Amino acid sequence: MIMRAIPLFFALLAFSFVACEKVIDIDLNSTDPRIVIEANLSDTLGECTVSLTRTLNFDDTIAFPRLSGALITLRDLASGTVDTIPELSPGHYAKPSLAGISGRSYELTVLYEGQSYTARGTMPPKVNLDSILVDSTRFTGPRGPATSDGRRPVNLLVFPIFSEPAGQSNQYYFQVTQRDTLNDNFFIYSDLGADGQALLRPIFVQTWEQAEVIIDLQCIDQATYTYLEGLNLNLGQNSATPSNPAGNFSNGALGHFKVHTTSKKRFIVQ
Amino acid sequence: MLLLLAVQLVAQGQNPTLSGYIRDAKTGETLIGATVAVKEKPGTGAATNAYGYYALSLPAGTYTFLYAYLGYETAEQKVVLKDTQKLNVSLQPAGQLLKEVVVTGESETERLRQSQMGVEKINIQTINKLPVLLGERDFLKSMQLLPGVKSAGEGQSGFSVRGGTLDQNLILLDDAPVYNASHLLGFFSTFNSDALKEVTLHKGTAPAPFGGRLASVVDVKMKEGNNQKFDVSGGLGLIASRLNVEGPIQPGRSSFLLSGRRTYADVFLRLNDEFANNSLYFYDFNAKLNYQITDKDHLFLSGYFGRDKFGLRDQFGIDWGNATGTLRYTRLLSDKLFLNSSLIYSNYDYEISIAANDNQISILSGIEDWNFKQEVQYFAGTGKQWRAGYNVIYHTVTPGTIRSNTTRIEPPLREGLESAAWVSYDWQVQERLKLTAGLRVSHFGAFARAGSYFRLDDRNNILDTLPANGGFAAQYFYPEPRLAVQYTLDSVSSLKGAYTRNTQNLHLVTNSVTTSPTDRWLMSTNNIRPEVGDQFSLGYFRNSADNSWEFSAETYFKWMQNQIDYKDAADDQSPAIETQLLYGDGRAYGLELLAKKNKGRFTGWLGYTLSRTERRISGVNNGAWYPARQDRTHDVSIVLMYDVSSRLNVSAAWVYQTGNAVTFPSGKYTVADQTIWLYTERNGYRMPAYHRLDLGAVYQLKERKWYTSELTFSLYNAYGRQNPFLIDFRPNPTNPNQTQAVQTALFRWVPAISWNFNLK
Repeated sequence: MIMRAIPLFFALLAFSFVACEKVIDIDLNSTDPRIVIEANLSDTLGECTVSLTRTLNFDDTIAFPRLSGALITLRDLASGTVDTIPELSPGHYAKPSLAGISGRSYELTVLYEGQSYTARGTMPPKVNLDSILVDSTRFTGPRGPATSDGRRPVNLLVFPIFSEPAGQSNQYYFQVTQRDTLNDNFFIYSDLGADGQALLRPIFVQTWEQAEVIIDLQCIDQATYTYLEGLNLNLGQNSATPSNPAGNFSNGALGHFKVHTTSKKRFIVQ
Repeated sequence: MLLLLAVQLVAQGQNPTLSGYIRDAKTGETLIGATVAVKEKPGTGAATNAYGYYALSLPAGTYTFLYAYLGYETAEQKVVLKDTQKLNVSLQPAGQLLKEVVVTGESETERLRQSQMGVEKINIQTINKLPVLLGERDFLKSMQLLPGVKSAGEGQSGFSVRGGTLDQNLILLDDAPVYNASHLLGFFSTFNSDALKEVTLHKGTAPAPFGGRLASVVDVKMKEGNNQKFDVSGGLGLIASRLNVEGPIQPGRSSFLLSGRRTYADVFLRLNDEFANNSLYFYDFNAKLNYQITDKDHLFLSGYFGRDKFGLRDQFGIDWGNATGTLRYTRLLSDKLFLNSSLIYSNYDYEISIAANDNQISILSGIEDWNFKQEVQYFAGTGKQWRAGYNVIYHTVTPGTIRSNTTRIEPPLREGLESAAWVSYDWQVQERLKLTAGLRVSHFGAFARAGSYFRLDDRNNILDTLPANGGFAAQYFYPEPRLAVQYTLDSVSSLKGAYTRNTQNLHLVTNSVTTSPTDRWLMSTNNIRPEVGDQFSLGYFRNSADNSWEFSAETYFKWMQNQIDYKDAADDQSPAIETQLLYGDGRAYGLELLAKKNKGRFTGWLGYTLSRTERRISGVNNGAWYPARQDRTHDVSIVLMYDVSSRLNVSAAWVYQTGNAVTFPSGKYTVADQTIWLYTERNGYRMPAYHRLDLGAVYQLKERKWYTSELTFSLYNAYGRQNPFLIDFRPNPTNPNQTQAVQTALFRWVPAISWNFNLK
């Protein structure tokens, strides 16, 4: 991740005192709208959710349409059980009583307007987040603005401490949440080439005094890792070959069905 | 018939040879490509090789030889040629009053008459007068003003030649490849002009002795060092300063040269509070030693060492640089046989250091070459010259090694052997027809070491790793024919044609919009096949009656195989990079027009290139042909230099380019509360057009007792146009529900001033 940030670091740093920005008019083509399915299943209750939206053209105002009336089912491939996930609010479907088990594979099917979209994911073995080390003393760099109630911005380096199991292929996603808002990039880590080694890189968190920050160590499968990598590249806009993150849904649906374990730790910023 | 041939051979063998070195009378520097003409036999002549040596065989008789080189006074020598003899000649630099500022380092008609096409010789003196960004002389940027050469982006030293990618250019400093030819993120060249003698650019049409990259060869030769007297010169600039010291060790026999440069760009950074305690600087040294052991033996040692450092307090730092060294021994085996043996070293590496949580982490990567080369030049007779040689390069690539206080992750090194052998024949077939025909055969082998290489399935997933078996994991062998033909139409015009095949075994992995010192070099493997390029070119060349103007029109067609592109959402930092690559074909074609004025107070050139470069890669855009990223349809450069007086020279350069191909989104959607961009095709859009005017002036200050000096001024982007460097997409700050396209421009008006001195 740091490796990818380097070219951006350079471009930003060295020219922040001479670069100028300007809004320009570009004629971008329109394209047929596509369905976007964001689905989540973890080993903890209350986290089985599905959001259904559609793509918009570049010039459209952002009011992503929420798609109602889809039939969504979750099938446990080991036991054969099928659960229907009901719609709780427009475009948002959830079944808080559903949770997954490590080692099992699940298949999610979305039936909407006569089209069927399917995705499969396997829940990886669980790795627990033992503790976190928060370092706010030395990091400098761009900060966010102060909050409306006068709390100052703080930049933190967060080191998640956990035991990386050797002998298996593990991928992780460290989800950072502050008051129900996610961090704006996806911190992922793979043990490829570093099997059994501790994670050396810290997570960079921009936060404010007295904010509550939740770090969630999610074990994800390789397909989800590749998808999140694709999201980061897409957001970073620094790739010479920008493309759509490849999710695991069939039939051209964008988005992804993420099957993961969770292990959370929370702390309050001093 | 056979008897006639035998007699002819014997008779030719009996022609006496006149040979020797041509040098600068003031400094003793040998002159490359200086010409020897015979007054009594127009159309006959020779040129000095890369070491300043010439040899000319003629039937016995009395002749007047004319020795010429641009920027020097022509010397005439009457010689009674009965037996083979030696004649070394020293040429006087042309007087200041007669200053004929010339744009290239070739004689007026050499371009018409040489068989090579797609070649540009760059005269360092002239390049030093052209205005450049931040006032630092950089021939790589000035080369981008020639037709067929396009810059990689605003202020970048990287370039694309005839539709090739940035890594398809072989940049040689005294025969040693320089892997990263720029400092400070591309804004400064690795080369310090003070130490350079000559630069030749071959646009994919280099003869058989050169190989290893598809698009071009930039052959940079260092000066040997003044062997007559001690010389100190240097300069103080806004961003960097330089010092050059050269002189004789034994006058007329041996000399040395030492040049150094250091920048202090970080001084400006610190003006901004947020960036205090950060460092951003580079330094480099060029050194050369040369020793004439006897009349026939000569020893040279040259080296380069440069380092860049960028640091964010003591928490994050990156340090990168090149080191090269060449040890060369030349020997005159006979008057007609010249042998050159060289041992060449080149290294490029970078180190990223991160200090986090009391742990010091460093990531290292690099490439190191050891190369042994030998070549023989045989001056067979008038208009006939053979070259034959071989070289063997041992490459070692260190993919990212990670070290910290507690861990050590060292992926296996990759080692490869790249060798070539060649034969080339320069032949003046008859008065109007000249050709250079050659064959280069190249071989590449990647050594099989444990864990280095792996097999992939057809979805690019790793199947297994190849075992170490004491031999090669992959081997490739290619013959590369080279042919260049020149036909003289009349005294002022000629036609040329050429066919060249090149192969390439080193590939630069880079998939970001901006280049970075952490871009990795990769060798061919069992999965990555060598790139192969075939280029056909045709050209028409014409001079005006008095040779003050040169015109040329060259057209080319290239077919490339095994071109590399990246799959969607490729991770160019992946330790298993081959899983991210896709392969296919490329084609490029274009027309290059050039009009150049070489004589008079007012000189310069006008260049226009019309071109297209495309790729067809399975897995991208459904396997259809699509424009390559570096494709730019129109490229115009106008360069003007004017001698206002004997002290003042002003120059202007104007460039215009249509935009390169780029991938923009066609829609958007949301995931995890972020706006994600929806892309349809790769490289389906174009960046907006780019144009810029640079102005410069060089003023000779009053000569003082101990030194002479000059002031150079430059204004980069004189009308301050906001040229697009990057375009990205963001929410509209006043109306976050709308998305807008934002263009980042790097440089508007950038003035610079520097003072250069020369001790007397």
